[in-house]
Amino acid sequence: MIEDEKSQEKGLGKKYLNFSIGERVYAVPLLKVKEVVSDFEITPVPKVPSWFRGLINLRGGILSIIDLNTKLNQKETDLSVKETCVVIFEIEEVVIGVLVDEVIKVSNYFPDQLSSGDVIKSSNSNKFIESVIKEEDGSLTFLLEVESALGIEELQILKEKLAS
Amino acid sequence: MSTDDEFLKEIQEDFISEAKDLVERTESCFLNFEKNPTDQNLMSEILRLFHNLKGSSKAVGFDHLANFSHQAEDFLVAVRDGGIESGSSVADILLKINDTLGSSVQMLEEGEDPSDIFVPVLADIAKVNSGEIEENETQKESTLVFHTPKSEDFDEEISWDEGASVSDEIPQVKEDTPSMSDDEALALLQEMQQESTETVESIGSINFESEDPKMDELPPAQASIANDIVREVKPVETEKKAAPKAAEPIKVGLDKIDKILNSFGEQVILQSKLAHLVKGVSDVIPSEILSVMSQLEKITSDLQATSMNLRMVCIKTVFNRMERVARETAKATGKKIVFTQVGADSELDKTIVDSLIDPLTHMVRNAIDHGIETSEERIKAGKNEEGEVILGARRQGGFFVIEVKDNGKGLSRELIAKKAIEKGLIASDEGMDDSEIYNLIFKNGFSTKDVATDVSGRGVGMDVVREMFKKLKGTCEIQSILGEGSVFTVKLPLSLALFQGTVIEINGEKYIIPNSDFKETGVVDSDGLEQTSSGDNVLKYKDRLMPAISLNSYFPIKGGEKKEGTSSMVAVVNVARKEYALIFDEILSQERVVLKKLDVDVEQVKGVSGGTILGDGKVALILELSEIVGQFYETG
Repeated sequence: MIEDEKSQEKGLGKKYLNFSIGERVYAVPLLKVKEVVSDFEITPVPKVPSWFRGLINLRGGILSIIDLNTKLNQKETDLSVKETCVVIFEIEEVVIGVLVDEVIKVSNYFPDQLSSGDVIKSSNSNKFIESVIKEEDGSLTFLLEVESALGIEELQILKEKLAS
Repeated sequence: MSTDDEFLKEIQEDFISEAKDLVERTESCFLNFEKNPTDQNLMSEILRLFHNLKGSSKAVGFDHLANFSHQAEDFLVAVRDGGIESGSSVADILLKINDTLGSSVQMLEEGEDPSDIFVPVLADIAKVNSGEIEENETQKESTLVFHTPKSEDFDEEISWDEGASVSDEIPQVKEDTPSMSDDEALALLQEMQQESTETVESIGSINFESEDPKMDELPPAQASIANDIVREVKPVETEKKAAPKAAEPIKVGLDKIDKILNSFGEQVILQSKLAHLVKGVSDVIPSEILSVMSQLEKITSDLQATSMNLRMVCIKTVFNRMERVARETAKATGKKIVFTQVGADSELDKTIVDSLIDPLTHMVRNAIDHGIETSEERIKAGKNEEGEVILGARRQGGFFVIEVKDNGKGLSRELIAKKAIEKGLIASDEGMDDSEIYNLIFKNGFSTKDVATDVSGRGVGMDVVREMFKKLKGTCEIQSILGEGSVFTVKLPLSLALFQGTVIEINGEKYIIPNSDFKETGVVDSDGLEQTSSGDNVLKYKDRLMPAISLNSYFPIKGGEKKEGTSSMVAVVNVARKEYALIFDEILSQERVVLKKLDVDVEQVKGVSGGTILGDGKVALILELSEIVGQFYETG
């Protein structure tokens, strides 16, 4: 982890996890990913927003699962597809799972490969795009602002509110 | 660091954790001894504990502690043999000895030298030995009487005027340890035996090393430690063979237990998956394999029941400490009290038990300091001279309830309201009921010193207390009658706690309802359900008419449909002395349920108190029926 931070300082690039949701390929910093689970069964929860898909059993603990496809594209991730899996993020002590259609690979991107996503932010599906990467084959990979996409901040505010 | 240093450090760490345990046990022994000063068994238990402590502290090089234990032991022997008359001053010294031990172990753990803190106690011991302490010390002595009733529900069974009696059957050795069934104990015992053999083997190798010529270069202390240990381990082993003790507890780190629980969770999932896979091809699998599989399944479910219990500990440890706090507060304030523990054998998750100590200390202290009146005041008010404080614990629905009850002067609504208005916390007390007024004392800023003396004083640190319970996701409420006393009720959610639940089905999904939450269940006749003119559903069930709530429409799950043609089930719930009918699809099974916390966003869902993992490895939500009723009807 320290090595990764160092290499980033030197401009040597940083590791990202690539996965697909809907039509697009997204990338997130690997440091924020705790693990990937491909074998799970979701229990739906009533009276929550539609992008909250439910709960899974993660080694005896209960984990909340968010469907980013619903949040970004108003579509539901198909759970019957074999490649569908849960990417588990751990960000500032919040652990949360995200449904993705397929985990593709781990890539290394250099800072100069990333172009700002500000220009496309206006549309809903691009709301959480931090930057765009043009891959060698010409396809685009979208670097996701995980914190805001998952509402980490809101979760923390909620937690604090409940604690006080 | 050389390996010898590391070894010494290691055995010292082991010693510290052992010593902590010893101190806890001696404390409860001392408290019991105070009540039954003639109990010889108790005295020999105390002596045995001190002897252990002396031996092992010397073995790991804590000579100051060994010396202190030695002197304490001498003192104890003198008390036992009647050389020193046991009275309250002796009891004080015994408790002081215990406190000093406790803090010295703490200091050792933090790497400090505790030599200095032994001095004052040793001086006290010397004074008593020479008979310097006179009885004048005991003139302002408060009396303390304890009794330990066996009732589960003290609310109904104990009245204020019940006479206090001395109980002499408080368990000593086995307390503070999670309770075990015989089977569990047997399994543990076998494990322990194996481990102890291993230990002896590894110790043996150390012994071998000590014969190494290099050993001579070691500081003498360390060399002797190695030898001491060899000498100590052997007899322990033979003793075990001679008389195997049934449920001798062993100490296991919480992290280890959590690891077991987690891996076990995974095993349960795999097990159910295996069962599922086999189902499809069961006709081609030899029956021997199927029979082994079904045995495996049974063992897994046994293991599940056992492992869920591992984190649970008895709340008695905390209650004993509170008894101590009560004793000290009564003494400091010169009041006479009777302290009673109720339901101290209830079990709670270890982390919760630990975090109860601070807030309960506050509450017990307040109850005596500010709640209970002085003897003169009590006699003037026509009350029994001795004030009563009851500390009780019990399970209630999905909650664990702790009550601190006193029969002191109670809270004064007028004074609290006056103060609150002065402080600007409320504009006026009009329209506020008593409990709302009482709850003002939990407000930050209310607890100032002048309030503490004017109003019956409950302001001291109460905001802090409530804060601490909030961290455990609990609540704290007050009931009080002026002149008759107050009850502080703490309600904690049973995180990780076990309870019996019913698995039900709503729209094709499984949910759990705690068995303690409903009165009865049954089948609903389709013609029993009616709608009133105002649109409310009403169910006629067993000739009783009650408001009905359909869980199917309260919890609509997308895609989930009620099975066609199946009849509905009903659970009758009592909320605020009124019956309500909750209607759902089916009752599936009974399960021992472990309540787990959910993420904040799910916890917001009204009617859901938590989640659990069912035998098949799937998550199921636990419903809170009274909260669901509250969504539809005023339940006050």
